[in-house]
Amino acid sequence: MGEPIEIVVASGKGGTGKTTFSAFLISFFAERGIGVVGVDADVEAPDLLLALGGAEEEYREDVYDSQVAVIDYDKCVSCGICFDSCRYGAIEWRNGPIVINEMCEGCGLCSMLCPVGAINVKTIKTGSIVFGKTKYCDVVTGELEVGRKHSGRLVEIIKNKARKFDPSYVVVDAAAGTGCPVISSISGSDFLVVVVEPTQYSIRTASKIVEIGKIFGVRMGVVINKYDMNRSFLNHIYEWASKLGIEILGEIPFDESVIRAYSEMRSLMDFAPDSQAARSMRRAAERLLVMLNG
Amino acid sequence: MKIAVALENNNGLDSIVAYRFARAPFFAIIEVENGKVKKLEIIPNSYGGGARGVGPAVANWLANMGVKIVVGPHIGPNAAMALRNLGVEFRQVSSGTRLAEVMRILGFSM
Amino acid sequence: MVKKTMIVSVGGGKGGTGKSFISINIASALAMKGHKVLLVDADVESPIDHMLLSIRREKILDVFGFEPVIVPTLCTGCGKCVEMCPAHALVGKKGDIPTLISELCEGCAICMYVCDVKAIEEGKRRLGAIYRGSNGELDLIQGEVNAGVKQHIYVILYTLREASKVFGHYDFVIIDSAPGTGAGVWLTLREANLVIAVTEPTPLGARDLEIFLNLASKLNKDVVVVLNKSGLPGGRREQIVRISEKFSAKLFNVYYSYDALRTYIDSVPIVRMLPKSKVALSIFRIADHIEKLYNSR
Repeated sequence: MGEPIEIVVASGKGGTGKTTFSAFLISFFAERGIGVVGVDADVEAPDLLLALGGAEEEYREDVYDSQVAVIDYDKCVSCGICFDSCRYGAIEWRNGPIVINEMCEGCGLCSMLCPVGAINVKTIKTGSIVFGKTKYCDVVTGELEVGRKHSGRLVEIIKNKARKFDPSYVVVDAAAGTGCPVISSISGSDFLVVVVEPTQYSIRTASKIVEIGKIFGVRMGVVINKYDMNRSFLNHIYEWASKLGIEILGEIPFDESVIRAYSEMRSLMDFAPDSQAARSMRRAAERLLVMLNG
Repeated sequence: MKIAVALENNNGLDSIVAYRFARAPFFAIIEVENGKVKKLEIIPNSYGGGARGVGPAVANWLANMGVKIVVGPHIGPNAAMALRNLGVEFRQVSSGTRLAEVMRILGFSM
Repeated sequence: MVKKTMIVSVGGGKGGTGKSFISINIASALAMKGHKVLLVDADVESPIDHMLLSIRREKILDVFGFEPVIVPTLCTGCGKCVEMCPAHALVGKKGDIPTLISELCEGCAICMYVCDVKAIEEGKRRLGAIYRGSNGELDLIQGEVNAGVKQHIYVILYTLREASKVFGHYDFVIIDSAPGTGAGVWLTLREANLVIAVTEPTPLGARDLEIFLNLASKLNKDVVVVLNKSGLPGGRREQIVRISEKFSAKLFNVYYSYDALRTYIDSVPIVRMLPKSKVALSIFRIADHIEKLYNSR
C-alpha cells in the first residue's frame, strides 16, 4: 500500500470554518467509500470529533514527550547562575527560591551550568492522544496539557498515528494561528486548503499561512467561507489568490444549518446534506479531488 | 563511495523505500567501488524517533559515516538544507520501490 | 489615593469567538467613561487590533533571539556543538566547520556554552517586533511574530515585558491574548487581576470554554464569561451557563447582530459607532462591572 495523501486545512484566523470544512471533507470521502482518517491537530482546543457527530468509542494514550528542568531545592544554593543563563525567561527569581516556570524548553543548559548539580531535566506529560471511531472513520485527536508548550511535537505524533491506519487520505484539521502546531501540521503534507472569510483580518493572517505553505512546497487551494457576509470584498480575495497563484476551490455561504448541526451533535453531511453549505462544500471537495488526481 | 537508502523494512534486496525520509526505520548503507557493490548492510535508524530536527540529525549521522549520496522519498526543507550543507547529494526515488530496483536505477551491480 | 492599575486578560480557548472584537470594545468603552486605557494585543501570530481600531502603528523595537555565529578561524571542527544541540540545528562532519539551520534553532545557547575554544559568538535572529499606536482615546501596544518563526511564545513574553514598563500610567490594561490554552496564553493570564473568557453558544465553544476555565482556575484567577454571538440560531446556551456556574464565573451576554458584523468589517468599535445598540449596551454593562471591581480594590 502506498503512502496516504495528506490534506491539511488551515486558516490562520480562528472561527473561519476550518473544522466545519475538515469534517465535511472527511464525511465526503467516507460516503464515497474512500479510506480516510481524520486528525485533530488543534491540540489546545480540539473540536473535530464534535463536528463529525461525536465518537462511538474512544480510547486514550498518554504522551510523555516534554522535557523540563527541575530544581532539587535540597541542593540549590541560590547562586543564580541558572537565572542568568536561561534564554527563555523560564527561570524566575524574585525574593525567594528560584523557580522554573512554564516557559521551560528542557534544553538542559541550566542543568549543565549548575555548580552543585541541583538541576535535572525530566520528562513530563505533554498531553494525550484520543483515538475515536466516528460513524465515518477513525479520528486521531491530540489534547495538550493546559499551559504546556510542545504542541508541535504532539501534532507530529498524531499525524504518524493516523498514517498507521493506512488509509488513502489523511485530513488534518489544523489549529488557528501560524505558530508551531500549525507549521507541524503543514509540514510533510501533500495539499493545503486555506479557509478564508471575506474580511481583511482573515486575508492578513491567511497570507502567512500561504507563506508557510510555499516554504514547504505544498500545493494549495482556497475555500471562501461565509462569502455572503461581505460580498464587496470578494474581488479583493480573487485578486489576492490570483497574485499568489492559488486556485479557489469553492465558496460557501453562511448557512444556519451548520450551527444547527453542531447543536444537534450531528455532522452537516448527516443533518443537512442538501443545505446550501453542504452543496457548495461538496463542490469544493470534488474540485479538490480533481486537483489531487489530475 | 557510500550510498544510503531510506528503507521502510529490512527484507534484504526486497526491502522497500520508506514513506518518510527522516523517520525511516532502516537505512541500507551500500559501499560501491568502480560501479560494483563491495558491501551492503541494513541498519536501524536510531535518530528516527527524535522529537525535533530529525531530518538534520539523520543527515549529520549519515554524513559522518561517509555517505555521499542519500536516496529516499521526498524530503522537507530542513533535511534538504542539512544535506546540502553537508555536501551530500540527494536522489529521489518513490516510496515502495524495491531496493534491488533502486540499485538498478543507480546503475550498480552486485 | 491613586488606584493600582487593573489588568484584564481576554481569552477563551476557541479561535473566532470574538475575543478581539470584545477586547477592543471593552477597552473603548472604558476609555469613553474617562479612564486611561492601554490595550495590549498579544495575539502575536495574527494581531489585528490595530486594524480593528484603524490605528496606524509604529515599531518600537525588534525582538531578537539568540543565534550562534561560528568563528571559522577558531573552530576546530570537534563537532561538540553539533552533538549537544537539542534541536539538531547545527550540522557538520567531524573536522568541518558546522553550519546552522536557522529555522530549527531554538535559541537555547547551549552550543556557545559547550564550545571549548570559544568559537561561537552570540548572534541575533529577528523573531518579530513590538509596535505601538494610539487613536487619541486609548493606547495600543502590539506584538507580532514573523511567519515561520517557532518561538512565538518568546515574542509574547517580550511584548508583555515591554508593555508592563508603562502599565502604571493606566487605570486599565486590557490584554487581548491568543486563542488556545497553551504556554502563550498562560503568560497572558499570569499577571491578570481579572480574566474574561469569550465564548459562543455552540458545543464547540462550550467545550473549549471548559478547557480554558480549567487553565484560569489552575492560576486562581477571577473569571467573567462573555457569551458572544448569544442568540445565534440553533446555538445552545444552557451548556455555557452550566460551565460558568461550575467555575463560579459571572456570565454576560453579547447578542449576535448584523450591526456588530458591520462595525467589525468597517473597523470601528461598535460602542463608538452605535452606542445605543443592543450590542454596545451589553458591552457597556461589562465595562460597568469591571469598573465596579476596580473601585472596590
